[in-house]
Amino acid sequence: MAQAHMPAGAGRTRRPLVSAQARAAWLFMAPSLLLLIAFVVIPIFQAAWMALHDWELADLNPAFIGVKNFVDLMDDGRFWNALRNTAVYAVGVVPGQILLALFFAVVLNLRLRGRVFFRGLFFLPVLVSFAVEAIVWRYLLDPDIGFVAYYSRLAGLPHIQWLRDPDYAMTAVILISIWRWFGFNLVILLAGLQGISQSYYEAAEVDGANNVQQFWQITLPLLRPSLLFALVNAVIAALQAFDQIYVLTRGGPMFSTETIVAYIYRQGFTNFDMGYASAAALVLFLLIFVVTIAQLRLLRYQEVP
Amino acid sequence: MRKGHLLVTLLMLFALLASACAAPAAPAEAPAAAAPAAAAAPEMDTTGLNLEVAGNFSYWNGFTSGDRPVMEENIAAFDALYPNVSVSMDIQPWDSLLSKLLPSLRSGSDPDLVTLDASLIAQYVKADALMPVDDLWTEDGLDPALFSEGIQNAMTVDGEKYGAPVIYFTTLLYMNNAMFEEAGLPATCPADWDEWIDALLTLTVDEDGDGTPEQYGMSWGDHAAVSIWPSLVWSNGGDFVNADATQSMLDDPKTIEAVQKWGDLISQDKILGLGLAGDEADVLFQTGKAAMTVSGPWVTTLFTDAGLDYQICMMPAGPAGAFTQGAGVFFTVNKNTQAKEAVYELMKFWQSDWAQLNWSAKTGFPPTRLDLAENEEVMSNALVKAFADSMPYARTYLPGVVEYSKINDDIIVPAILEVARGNMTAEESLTAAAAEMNKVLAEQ
Repeated sequence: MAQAHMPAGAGRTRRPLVSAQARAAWLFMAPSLLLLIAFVVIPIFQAAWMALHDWELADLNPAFIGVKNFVDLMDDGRFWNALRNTAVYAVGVVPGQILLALFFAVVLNLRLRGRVFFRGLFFLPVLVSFAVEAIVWRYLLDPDIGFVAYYSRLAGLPHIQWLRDPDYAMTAVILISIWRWFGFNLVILLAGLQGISQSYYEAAEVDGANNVQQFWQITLPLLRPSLLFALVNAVIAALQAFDQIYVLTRGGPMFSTETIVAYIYRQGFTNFDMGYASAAALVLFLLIFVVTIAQLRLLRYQEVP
Repeated sequence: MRKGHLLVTLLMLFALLASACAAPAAPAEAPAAAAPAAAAAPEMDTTGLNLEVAGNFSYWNGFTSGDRPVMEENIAAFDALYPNVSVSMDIQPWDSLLSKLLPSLRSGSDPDLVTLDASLIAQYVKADALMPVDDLWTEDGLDPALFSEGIQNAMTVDGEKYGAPVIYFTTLLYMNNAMFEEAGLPATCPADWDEWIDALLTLTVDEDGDGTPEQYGMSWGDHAAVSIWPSLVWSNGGDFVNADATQSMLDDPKTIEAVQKWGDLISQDKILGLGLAGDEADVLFQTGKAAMTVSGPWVTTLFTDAGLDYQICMMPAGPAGAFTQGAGVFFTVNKNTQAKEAVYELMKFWQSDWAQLNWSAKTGFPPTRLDLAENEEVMSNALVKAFADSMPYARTYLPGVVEYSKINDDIIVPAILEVARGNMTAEESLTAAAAEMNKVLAEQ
């Protein structure tokens, strides 16, 4: 009978279920995993539990009301207004910051003089707290005593109330957010551009491709992983916009800049209706989840160019 | 080499863990104890106070800025006066106080005594967190006759009293005398709405005709501010809610009339700008871009330091009289406190002559007691006197309403702003708002 090719003694010892490497990996991941479970996973389940109750913050015995909070949300004009504002904000901010970042990344990649300086300069707004920046912008845009109003008047431009006008407040918030974030995406896209081998461009030149063709056929496809990362991040951040809204406008005037997170904050921490706020937060969570999956699918993240 | 790598990795891990476990930075607020510890007992009339009372209790409040030293001084004096009582005071910003207070109620580490804004008292009563203190308001304790109706209404829920005032203030009309004189108007307080509106229209100046005045008759904050609308509506004979907080009065004809009248002045005559926060409205007055503003005692230092020539006036009388909005913060007692007698003594001590005059002189706020308005010290300070004199005309906005924030911020203010922006008539806007408000009141 032929012996199977097994090392001596193999039949008598069992291989460990988890290898030493895997054990070490779990050990290193354990602190982060514990923090994630304690501060992310458990609170999500807690929020789901609270959403099923009429839970005022000071309530010691909140009543179970099933899906009533969700039903009320669907009927709540303010909630839909907040969702609409969030969508408008995202549609304004995301393409704005990505396109601006792409433009400057391409320019800075031309290895002109001063590019390190400009890269740092454009990244500066990212480093400062958004709340602090928002306070400064509030003063700059003040229609009575702000610099923007003063110089607009001198230049004969129409006098806009900006953050005090329901028709213009969201535009102001979007522009400020683009200014704040494009530097972050610039750094990501620039790194992506610098990772593209010059040989592609040389080969394309030989084949007679002009700059525009090179950009569309080489740069963009090879930049896809960086673009995807920047885009997904930008969309998630846009859907969660809060600090700049809270400082700049508190969601006003007339709720014209109230995004969904600002709405949730209001319901939970000003009106103390934690059950209702949790229901809205869960809806937002599902929304971001669906949008992110859709983005990843549409942009074919698994395919390597 | 491998051992070296292991050592570096372990050191880095240790450094990471150590930084995560580092003791938190010392809290910004003062240690939880009255200061200074060696304060002498104040020389004062202690009639009505029981100095033999014993007990220790914790007290939270939010007086973190200019009035903090005075709060500490008053509490230190109390500590010194009562040898068997010790107060553990925790002062922190109002918003962090509130966010700590509610969880602490559930965990049992809540304070014996906490200072709450009047608008929150009903909510905490509903949450079964507060002790009624009707037995404090008796002959042996605090005499209700010495306190304005506004103060009493502010701390009464369902007929029971739940506190004692810490501060209570009104909002009054500040006017820039120099701007009045420059416009050819007498620098005297407008006595009624006709005089007031005349002054507002004269002082609103739009030189380039672009629809945005370079100078406003008045400035007003529609958020993060005490509103002018209660005063305007009450002065016309209207109101926002009935006496027992069960029915909205937004659709009362007098309310609608007041909102339409002033809404038109704002939307058509641009007497004031909309969308400002309270502090922005103060800045407009401070920088001479608005000739009048409505605010509380806390801005007097700001305007005086800016060198403004100004005076404070009672709100001009409307068809139904002159009324101003009173607001304040109150001592409220934890339902489960074990130091009730000691807590009551602090609440009584705070209303004493010494404590009230000390507080008033150093913070500029009027005393809580009506009889102290005639006090020499108070009368010698014109600004404090103006606020003290207005106390009898103060009313509480939305008394007894549990969902104060929801009703004010989400229903009443937006409804009024629709009228002030010229988007809707007061009848349309307030009738719809009244229906919404009644739904919320019904759930109380």
